[in-house]
Amino acid sequence: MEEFIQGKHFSITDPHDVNTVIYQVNKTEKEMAKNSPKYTIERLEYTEELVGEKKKKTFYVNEPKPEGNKLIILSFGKEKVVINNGVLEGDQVLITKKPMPFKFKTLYSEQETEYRDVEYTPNLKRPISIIDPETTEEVKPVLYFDEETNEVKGKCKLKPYKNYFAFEIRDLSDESIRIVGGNPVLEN
Amino acid sequence: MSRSERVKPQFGREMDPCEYKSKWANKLPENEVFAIKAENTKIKEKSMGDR
Repeated sequence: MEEFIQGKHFSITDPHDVNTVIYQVNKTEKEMAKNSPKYTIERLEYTEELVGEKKKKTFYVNEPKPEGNKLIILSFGKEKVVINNGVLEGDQVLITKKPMPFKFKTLYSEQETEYRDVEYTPNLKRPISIIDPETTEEVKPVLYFDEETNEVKGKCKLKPYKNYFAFEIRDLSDESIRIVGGNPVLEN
Repeated sequence: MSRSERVKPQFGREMDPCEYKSKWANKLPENEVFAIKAENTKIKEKSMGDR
């Protein structure tokens, strides 16, 4: 058997009721930037094993870059998401000690709820990601062209009275990052 | 019955979104970051001779 080296991996441990997902941030090349998003994000694949009551997650970066791989770290709990950043550089991932928590709006209903089609006008230069905090899965919108308004619109299914977390990158440089996030909430 | 609605709140001042602004971890002083070890990912593959 031969062994090939492909990328790097690192592990973090999530407490019982926390689910961490990590995105790699890529700045679009200038030649491509005119008609493309300024930044794209790519979720890191991971494997998971239980260690006692905690979950050890190993994240994989397939293409380490000489200048470092910029990472957005989102840790979802029951009522909040904690936002942080990290950079894979060589044989280590540096992570800041000052994450920022964002508490979800508490909207709870005993009522039966159904998924609804939700329309929004996406900013194609700054794509918005919508995450279901319970599963940490992304809610993928379907884009379509509205001939009446002459706009590209997005449509996705959200459940009323349920928490979601949506975010977008507003600014990105080699020095810093600015993310804006919030709760898209559907009220009946 | 399914009907289309606007996402509420959308991003904007009136919606009180959160803003996360930070220097990248590799641009911060050592005492403001911690490090996790990253290792090479090895993929085992049968050599051509074994096929």
